[in-house]
Amino acid sequence: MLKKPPGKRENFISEKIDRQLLDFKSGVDFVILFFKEFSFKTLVWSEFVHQCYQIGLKSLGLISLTGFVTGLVFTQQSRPSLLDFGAESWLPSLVSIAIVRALAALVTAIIAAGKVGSNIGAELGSMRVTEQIDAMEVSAVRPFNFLVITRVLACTISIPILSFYTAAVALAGSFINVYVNEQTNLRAFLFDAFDSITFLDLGSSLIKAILFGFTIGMVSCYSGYNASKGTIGVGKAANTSVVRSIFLIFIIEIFVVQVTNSFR
Amino acid sequence: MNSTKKNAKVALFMLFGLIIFAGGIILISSMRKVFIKKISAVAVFQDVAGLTKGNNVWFSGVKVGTVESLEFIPDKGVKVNFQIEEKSQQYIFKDADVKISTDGLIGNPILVISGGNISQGVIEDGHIFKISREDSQQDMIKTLQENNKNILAITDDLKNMIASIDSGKGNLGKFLKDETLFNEVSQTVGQLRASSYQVTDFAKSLNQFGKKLNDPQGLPYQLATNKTIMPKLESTVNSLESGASSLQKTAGNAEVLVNEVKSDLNRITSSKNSAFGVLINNPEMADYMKSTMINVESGTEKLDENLEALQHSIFFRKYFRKKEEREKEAAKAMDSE
Repeated sequence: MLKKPPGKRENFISEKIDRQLLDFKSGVDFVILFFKEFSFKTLVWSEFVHQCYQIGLKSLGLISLTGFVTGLVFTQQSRPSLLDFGAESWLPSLVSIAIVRALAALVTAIIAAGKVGSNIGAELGSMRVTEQIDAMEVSAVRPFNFLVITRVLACTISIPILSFYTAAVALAGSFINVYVNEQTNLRAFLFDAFDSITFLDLGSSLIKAILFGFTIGMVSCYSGYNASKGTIGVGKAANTSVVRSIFLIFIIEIFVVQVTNSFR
Repeated sequence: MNSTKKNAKVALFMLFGLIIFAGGIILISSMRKVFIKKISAVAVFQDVAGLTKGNNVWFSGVKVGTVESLEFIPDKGVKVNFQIEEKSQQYIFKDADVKISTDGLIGNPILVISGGNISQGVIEDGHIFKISREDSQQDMIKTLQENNKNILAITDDLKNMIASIDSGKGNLGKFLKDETLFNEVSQTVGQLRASSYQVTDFAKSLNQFGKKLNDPQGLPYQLATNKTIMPKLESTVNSLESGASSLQKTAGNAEVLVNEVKSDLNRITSSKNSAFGVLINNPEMADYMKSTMINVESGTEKLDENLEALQHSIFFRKYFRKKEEREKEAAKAMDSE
């Protein structure tokens, strides 16, 4: 066995951490490459529309169910606490603030990270391990443009739309619960719900959803695009897409909340 | 799937998302009254109690605007700039005041405009409201705290008092601890109880008397209700009253007469020149009169003896015999009747 040359370290910190750091750097490079390559002129619109269909419309059923249940259950669970203060009339405003400021975007992003992220990671990973991406490069199709930019853009646009949809469905679920229990009509419910919401809430929710969509698209595409080690790599890419996306979603949530609160 | 159909679905999906977003913006705008004409107003508070930009402005319980901004003014407090919708301007008058309250007991701070007199005219853009103060929750808590302290002090006093009583200090303590006193009080209570029985009996008697008063055959009832007796009684009383007044007059006259007699008597008795005055006041005259009376008495006795002797004389014996017979006959006639 060869001895290490004296005074020269093999790793910067440790092998594992160095690998993570390199992975982070290659991720940042991937994002930079996205902005470098992105152009509406070179965008493959048909693929973009297809991805919007896959990411947005195909997730609509799942998102509807999740959003509705979220609104319904959140209202139901919040009632006893407010009831203690005789403040059940605040339910609409409480639920609407929670949904618009946080839940709609967060729930949508987590569901999309699970469904869309794993899908993209697995799809691009399998293309990578079966050398389809290499074949595209050889045939001058520019796979980054075709595969990555369209998917990231589709995620960035579809997820905010899905989050609005989630918010609407969640408020509908909340309204049903409030109507059944307190017989509040829709007009009064909407008045109470939107009286507490500001443009800042709506804006921050939109920005969050855009960032969540972009993150899910980038992380999933990166994981799949850089997959290796055969079929194991495909599974790993799908898994990594979901785990990293959700992790980053929460990091972004914290960051955006801090920034938003500084404007309040 | 057909590409056109897919494109249409995606377009519809995006449109739907945009509609929801636009709907949200419109709803918030209508709540925030973004597209409504507004006027600005100002109020300066010492303490804004957590009021922030966007909080509601109420007038008579109706939301009429929102807080626009807050800024510190050195030595004066916090200047609150707020907006009031133009359509509500006509109902808010210049002398209205503004205070900081809360939406419900634990709700957000709000600005509440109240009062105002129509004679002062409506507010204009840039109007500076005078402020009034409402007791904040802190004030209420402070008052409660003071109450708690008072209650604590009262409790302490009570505790000390009870301790004193328990140790036999003070009148109450002595009373509770002193057996003799207790027995006396106990006896007194017994007597009181007996008295109460008597009072009860008396009350019963009184009750019975009351019943008798209400008896139609009884005198009081008759007096109160009988229409024959009462007028007679009234006339009798009136006669008595007039008689009494006459008697009073007579008594007055008699008093005058007595006074006059008294004064005459005084005058007579005190005078030394009148015969009666001389008789009363002069002792020599009294002695003289006494000896005279003795002489008269002896003279009278001697005259009786002479008259007795005269009856037995021959000249008058017949006359006295006839007189005796007439007297006997008169006595007989009286007995037979």
